[in-house]
Amino acid sequence: MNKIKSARLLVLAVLVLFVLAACAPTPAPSGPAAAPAEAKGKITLYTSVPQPIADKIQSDFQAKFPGITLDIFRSGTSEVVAKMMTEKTGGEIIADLVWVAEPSTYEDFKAQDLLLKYTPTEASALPDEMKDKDGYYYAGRLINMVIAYNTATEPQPKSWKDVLNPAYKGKIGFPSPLNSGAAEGAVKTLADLSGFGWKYFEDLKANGGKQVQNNSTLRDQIASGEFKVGVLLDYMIREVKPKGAKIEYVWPEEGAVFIPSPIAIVKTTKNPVAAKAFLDFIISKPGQETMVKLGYFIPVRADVTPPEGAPSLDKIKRLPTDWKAVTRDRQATKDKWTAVFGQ
Amino acid sequence: MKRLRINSGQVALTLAVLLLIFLVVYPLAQLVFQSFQFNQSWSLQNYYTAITTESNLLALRHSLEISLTAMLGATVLGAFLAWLVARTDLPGRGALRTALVLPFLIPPFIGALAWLQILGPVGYLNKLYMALSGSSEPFWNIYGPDGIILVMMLHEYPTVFITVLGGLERMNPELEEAAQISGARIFRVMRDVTLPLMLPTIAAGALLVFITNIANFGVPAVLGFSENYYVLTTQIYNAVTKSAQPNSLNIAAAMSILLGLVSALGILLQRFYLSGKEFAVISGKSMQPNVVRLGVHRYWLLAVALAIVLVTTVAPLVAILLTALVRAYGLPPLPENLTFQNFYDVLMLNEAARRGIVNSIGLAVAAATIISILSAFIAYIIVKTKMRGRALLDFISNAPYTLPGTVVALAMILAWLKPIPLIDFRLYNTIWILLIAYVARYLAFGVRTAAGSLAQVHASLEEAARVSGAGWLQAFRDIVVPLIRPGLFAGWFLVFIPSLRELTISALLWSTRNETIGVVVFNLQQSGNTSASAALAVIMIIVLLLANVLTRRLTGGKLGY
Repeated sequence: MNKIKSARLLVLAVLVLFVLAACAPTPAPSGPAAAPAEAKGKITLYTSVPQPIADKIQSDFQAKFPGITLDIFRSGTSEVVAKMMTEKTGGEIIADLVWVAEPSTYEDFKAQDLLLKYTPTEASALPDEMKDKDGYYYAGRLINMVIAYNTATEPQPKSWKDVLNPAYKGKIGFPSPLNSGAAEGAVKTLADLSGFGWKYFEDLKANGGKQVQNNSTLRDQIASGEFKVGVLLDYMIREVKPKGAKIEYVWPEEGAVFIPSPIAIVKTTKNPVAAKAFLDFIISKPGQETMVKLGYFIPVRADVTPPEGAPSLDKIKRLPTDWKAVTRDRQATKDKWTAVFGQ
Repeated sequence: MKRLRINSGQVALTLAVLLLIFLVVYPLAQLVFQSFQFNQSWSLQNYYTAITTESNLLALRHSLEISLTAMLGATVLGAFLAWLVARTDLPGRGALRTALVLPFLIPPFIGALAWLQILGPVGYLNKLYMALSGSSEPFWNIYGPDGIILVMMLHEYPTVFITVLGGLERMNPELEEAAQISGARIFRVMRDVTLPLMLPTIAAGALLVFITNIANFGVPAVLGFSENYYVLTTQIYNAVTKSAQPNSLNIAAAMSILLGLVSALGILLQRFYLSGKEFAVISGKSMQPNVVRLGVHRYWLLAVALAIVLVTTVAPLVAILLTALVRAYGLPPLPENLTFQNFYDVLMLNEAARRGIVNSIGLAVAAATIISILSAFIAYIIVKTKMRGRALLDFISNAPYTLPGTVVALAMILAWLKPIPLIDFRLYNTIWILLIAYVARYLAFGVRTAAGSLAQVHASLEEAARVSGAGWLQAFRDIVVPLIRPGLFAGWFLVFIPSLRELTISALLWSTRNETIGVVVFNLQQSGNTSASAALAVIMIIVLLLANVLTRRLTGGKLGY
């Protein structure tokens, strides 16, 4: 009888504890902020880097910096931005670092004064195209929109124009710029390119082009044969090829859409020391070697060997992209896209 | 009459009421309030935007179309199967009764995920068809409205099945017998007596399916997003998670109220049919219901019933298991392509997946425990006191479950996004907001079972204790709680299992480190990691099966399947 009573008391105590814990204020971030000494504590990264790669970066970084706990929120660029905006409404952005696909989002952030200005130790090792001239963001990886195809596809596409080949009718995928920042950059780049313009997308639609939620999904759909060709990020294909996935890609004759994918520190970070350590690490030589190894990315600096089968930075033929214009015309691009492809 | 001394009793009951305000009333009030706020003043602007945006209207139409169609399908299927099991001499009816409710074990979004492996554009069945026919087009693409309807139907027919089965078993056979004695043939009896008598029950079951469908988030999310096909729940989800417009949460609140209204309409109708007395009448158990002898038809009907079990339960499970075992997505499930690597990756390398499993189990245990305790108090007020406003209390504790989960989740965001004043603690982005939402959401289960048990406890027992000098709390603790313990115990499991598989609310309230298993499966699927999401889905099914076995064991077979 006594046992049962004490068990009941225990349950009651647990309940009370839960209620108290739910109401208790968080312990204030401890430690003197003044001492710039060793990077430690917790940081949170909001990113659109695909989950498996983000997981690897997380464990690799934590192994190298045992004092730092790195939390990662991963989602599409638009979700990451929406989450930050919701948190801003609530009064506190949780993210210490943000790493989404392309620079135009960071121009938005800069305009809203959300970023912390910082010059990484090895900033000078990065070519100019890999960093913000105002010093707010730095490319942590380079991603390129290229043309991917299933290995069984005949004929194999060589250029952006080839995608309009009737042989692929109804089997063409394009990631939706409504979700993917990289896709938005690609759409704007092609829409502003002479000889292409929105006509290109209308023709694409007429040839049975379909929009797909995100790049990873499209990759699987091409590998599985659901689509014959598609516009996709280069590293995603290099990532699955060694596993035997039936997907290949080509650097388009006209040039690839070249996207430096930036990292920035959020201004309101409570742990700038650790946040800076992360940014420093990613753009360092060992950091970029890790990025090549874990994510099959083309390194953002010239002194790191690119992954097998990928060109180095200077060998990539690229289309001109005006990221400021991407920011400025964001709504127009999305509206126009919706008019052609639907929501 | 109860006389509460102003002490332990009133304190405990007041605390329960305050907790209810914190859990349910305040968040829902915030939702309503925010839906009328535009630029920090009262306005109908959000509603105007919500109903004049074309995509929102389209989503509303989609919601209605899908829910109604799936409702019809599930009703016909469920009612027919119930009749087969309850009123015919079909062989193996006992086993069928269990097998036909198995779809309840699998969360609908996992079902959608599994069906994608069968009838997705490159699903196993479509690939087989393309290989055999030489066609480059799939036989049928499950993405989009038709697939959503199919999966909802296959997951919801057991609701009608169970409702109608119960109705048929409780129905007084004398009416049927009277018709038979008057010379009517058995099928005529079924058509002219049984069916009309059962109609209110069937309608009640059907409306329950409609309410469930309109609130469903997982199925249209898994099967609709990639086709850009949205229903109200997914449209609200998008407005909350993808729109960076400053007013998006307020517009989402207005849309949530609309969704809540559609759902409430269904509930009112359902209550109306439930009030038909046929449903409530329980006759003695000794009666022998009419049994239709199927004769030669019994074999093909049995084949049909088995095919339904195969299609609704076995096929999707096998398909998702195969996908989880294949080395790289898109490769055929041949022996040389099979591997446990995906399971290893998900369990060993994916921290979010590991956390999701731990979080979900922790949340389910905590929510079930809190609800069991809280609902003892709330049920006591509702059943045993004459306290004013206890009907309102009943209504409030039921509200979060009757409302669509998406609505509850948004209410929680709006209520707890900003720090709680005075203690300056933010619930948003913590695990606590999930716990609060779960407790609010499933409170109705606990209160209902506790109230049911309490109604059986005669007041004299408690009064005896009070007369002997026990305080209210002491009488409650030593007399009432032990007597209703089986009910509280059952309530615990009724909360535990749905919490474990929850997705709709978690999808909106999760944050880094505070993932649930459902959220991780969903995120992996949404971000295109098909193999990993399939592997984790299989793990989730195993966890749910184990929880179900545990439930059966511990409740002596009263709960669980």
